[in-house]
Amino acid sequence: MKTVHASEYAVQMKHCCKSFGRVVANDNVDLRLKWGEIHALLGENGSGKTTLVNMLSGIYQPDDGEIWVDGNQAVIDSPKTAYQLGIGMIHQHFMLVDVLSATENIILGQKGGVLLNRRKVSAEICAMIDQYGFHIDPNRKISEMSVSEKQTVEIIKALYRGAEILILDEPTAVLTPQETDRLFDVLRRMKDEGKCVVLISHKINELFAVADKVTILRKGKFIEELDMKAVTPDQLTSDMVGYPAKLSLNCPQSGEVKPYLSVRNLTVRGISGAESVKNLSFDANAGEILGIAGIAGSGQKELCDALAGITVPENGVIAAGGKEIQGMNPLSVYRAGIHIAYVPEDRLGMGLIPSMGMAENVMLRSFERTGSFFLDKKTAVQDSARMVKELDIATPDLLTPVSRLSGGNVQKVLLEREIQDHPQLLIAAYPVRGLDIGASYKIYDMMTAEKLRGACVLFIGEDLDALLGICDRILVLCGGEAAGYVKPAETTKNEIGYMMMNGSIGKEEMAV
Amino acid sequence: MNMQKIHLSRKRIFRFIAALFCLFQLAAAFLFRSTEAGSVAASARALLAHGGVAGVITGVITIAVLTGLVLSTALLFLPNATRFTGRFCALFTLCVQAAFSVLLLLLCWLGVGAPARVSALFGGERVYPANYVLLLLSAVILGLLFVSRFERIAKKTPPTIMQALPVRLLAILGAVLCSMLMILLIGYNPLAAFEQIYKGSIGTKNAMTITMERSIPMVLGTMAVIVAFKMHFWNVGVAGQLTMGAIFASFFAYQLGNALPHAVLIPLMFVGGAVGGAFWGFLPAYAKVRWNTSETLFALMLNYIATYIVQLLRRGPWEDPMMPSFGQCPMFVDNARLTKILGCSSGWIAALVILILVTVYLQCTRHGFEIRVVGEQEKTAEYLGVPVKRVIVRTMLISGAIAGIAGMLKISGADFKLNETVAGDIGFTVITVAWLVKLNPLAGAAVAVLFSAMNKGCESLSMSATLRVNGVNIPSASATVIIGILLLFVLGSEFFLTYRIVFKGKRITKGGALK
Repeated sequence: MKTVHASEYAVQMKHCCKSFGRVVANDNVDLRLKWGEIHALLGENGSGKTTLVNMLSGIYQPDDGEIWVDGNQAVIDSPKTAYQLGIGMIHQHFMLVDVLSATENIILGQKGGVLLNRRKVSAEICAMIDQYGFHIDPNRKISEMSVSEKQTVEIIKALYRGAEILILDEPTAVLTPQETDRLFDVLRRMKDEGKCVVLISHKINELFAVADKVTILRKGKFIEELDMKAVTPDQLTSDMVGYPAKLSLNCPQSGEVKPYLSVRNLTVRGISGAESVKNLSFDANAGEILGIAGIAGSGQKELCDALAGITVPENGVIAAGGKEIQGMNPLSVYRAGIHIAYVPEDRLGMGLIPSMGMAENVMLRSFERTGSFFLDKKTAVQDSARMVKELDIATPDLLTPVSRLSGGNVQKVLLEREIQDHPQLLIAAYPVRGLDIGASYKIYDMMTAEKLRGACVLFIGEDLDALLGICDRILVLCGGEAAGYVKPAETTKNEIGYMMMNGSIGKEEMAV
Repeated sequence: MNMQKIHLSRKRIFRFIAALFCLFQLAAAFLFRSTEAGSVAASARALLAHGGVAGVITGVITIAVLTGLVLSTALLFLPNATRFTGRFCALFTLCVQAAFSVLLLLLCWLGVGAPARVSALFGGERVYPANYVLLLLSAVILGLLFVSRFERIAKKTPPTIMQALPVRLLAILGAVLCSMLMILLIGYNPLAAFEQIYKGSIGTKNAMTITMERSIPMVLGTMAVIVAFKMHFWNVGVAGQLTMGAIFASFFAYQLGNALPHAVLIPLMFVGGAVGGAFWGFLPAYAKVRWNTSETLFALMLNYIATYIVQLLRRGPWEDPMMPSFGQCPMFVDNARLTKILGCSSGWIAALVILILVTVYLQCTRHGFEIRVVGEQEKTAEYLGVPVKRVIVRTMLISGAIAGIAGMLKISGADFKLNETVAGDIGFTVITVAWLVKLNPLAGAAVAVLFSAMNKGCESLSMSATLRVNGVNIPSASATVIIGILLLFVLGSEFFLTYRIVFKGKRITKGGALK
């Protein structure tokens, strides 16, 4: 049922500007979204896409410029106003209450009578589920749902509140290929209804599957608006990065491949106390990149923390370089001669200290390892100055808190600091999440360089294309258990997707 | 004649009220003398009678005030009054208050006397109740104006220390002016009051000595707080640790006061103080590390326990045999007292050394960095392999030890006797100081000394002979109020350094065009 709209444009943002102190996030950006269209917003990280849609969803207010919603100029001063205008945003980080059911989350905070008419609400939600072809049970608790189901609940939440304009921020980052297809079906159905869908993404091949138009942003400036039918992937990539780019992933073979890491019967408990890693056994070799694929929550975080010595596993043996290191504190592991580098998923929450500057963050690893009582700040300053030059990191100075740096620069600092000591084992958890193309490929190059130097590299990633591109072997996890190994040359994304969802399909053997 | 229909909006109603207010002031100026404008007129008369510079200034202010009142009232009633006039009027009424206060200050400066005598100029009428009402009213109107034009607050980029300096100085100036106004309003001479504060804090040699003496435990207490707070361990038990240090030091003073030579006794007391404070700091740290208790509550409760231990000791085993059933500890023998250098106890040397050690420890050593890492983000500390539990306990041992040393220096340098008042207000004032200076040790020491001076100066207010009206001294509570006002302004200035207030208003586009 198409609703009648006042104007053919759902949203028009004209010359919008937004600055944070000295940083200009959006500089005279135009965005025109039509009703009944799936519009993609393409740009690297730091290009201002998230800031732009945050202005639409009421989180920020533009410093300058106008926003017109359905033909009327609007001042969106809070998310509540945005909802009243029919703008709903589905964030990357879900805002759901785990202990409540989907229905309860959807109606949370809504205006209504004192008594909750559960049946009426349930009926409305079920009608919506049928209408769009979702596959969820609205009465299940959020804590029992998978990531893609949680995302679906977020979408229903927005639709239930009457959103006619939906903004999705990197929705496919956490989905398997099959789930991505299902999401795109839903989006197409919304488009047919006449709704306006904004898709923020950096995965160009996905945009070709579902988007009608694309607006490209680069470094805060509006570059152009293109029709998806009239462009090529290379053209989009070049426009996005600003120079003719032909980026490819390759997997060069290292000369020496020796066994290095051996994990047997590893069991690790997660924060909730439940077993996140169940009796896992696998091997990884020096001179190879072992990719680890799995949907979010398959035990990757607990596995990495156990390997790095941060958590003590319940059971099992972790042997690196011939020595058993399970349960040992990271410093003890280092002093035993095993050099492990860990780039955690939570960069600013674990790997770095956001309020400290770059030089101090670089010092974090070394200050305990040197064993001297006095700090060697000079070396840290020299190292970080070198890093800024070599890795082209954009920072005002070495004292600026790293929380001010863009995601890509933060990750470059983190990774470079970790591999400075030439580690024997490098564990990289989601190293390119949230990074722009240029930074992502730089990170891939850095990991490949470490592999060629003889390190054993574990790459936990969510982008199956990247995993297939640079890994020598991929271990697929499902529910904390190993579903099997695959070789990139002999498998497809769909096969991996299937294994991620359903576990071992019996074909693969556990041996190397 | 074409009568335009008057559009009744909130803005217009507000302006109407403001206009009435100004009219009232104006009328009162000429009809009744016990209002702001009336007082302006009357004090103007008095000052003009005095002549000279004061007379000229007075003349100017009076004319300005009265003209402004007339103008703003007239403007408000014009049908096409712009937004500007509303703001102008509200600000102006506040200026009338300020003008009045300035005039009264001028009178005081000229020695015409305390404001109580000023009222005599007005024929003995009570000037002040009207003051309060009108001050309140104009504040309300200004507040309404602010609220109607306020849009939101926005975070600013944090300013550098040099950029922040003007705001800080303005805050101190504001505090001084506000205190002066307060003193005026209770009927005393504010200029004399501030002169007394200066004299009482550093004006005389005696006062300077006492100030220095008092700043020793303040500085050390601030160091203790900074060390713990840098780790985000909210050590509010500094008072108790100080008391415990004093107890341990007193033990040696009372038991071995005459048995050991001075050069052995003092270091022994020093170590005792450190051990006592460290022990009292260890308890909340261990409980936190082992059972994840709230360090704030635990340390806070230990404060009371320490106080009661002192009470127990002074009524029991350590009671002065010379004055039985008085329940007081005896005074220290001379052997147990710190030698005086330049009138002040030699404890300041220890304070200085500890200040330097703490600064170096926190800035340049591995331990200091560990403290920061554990404080900023414990997850990162675990990720790096920093022994979090060990760091917490070690740091609290140090923090408690420093507080304990403060206690020892206080009783053997100033008090010379163990009493539960040894910690006094120090325990909590040092927390304020540490917070004010954002945990910077050197700045903390400077501000601690300033605080001691301020405290000493304000204390002497109620004992001054010049601040008397009708034979009654200025109440001693005014000292606390002045310090409170100072703290309020300085801490409040933080807000203006962190946030910027955005008012609804014209938006200038890039081309310079007004919207």
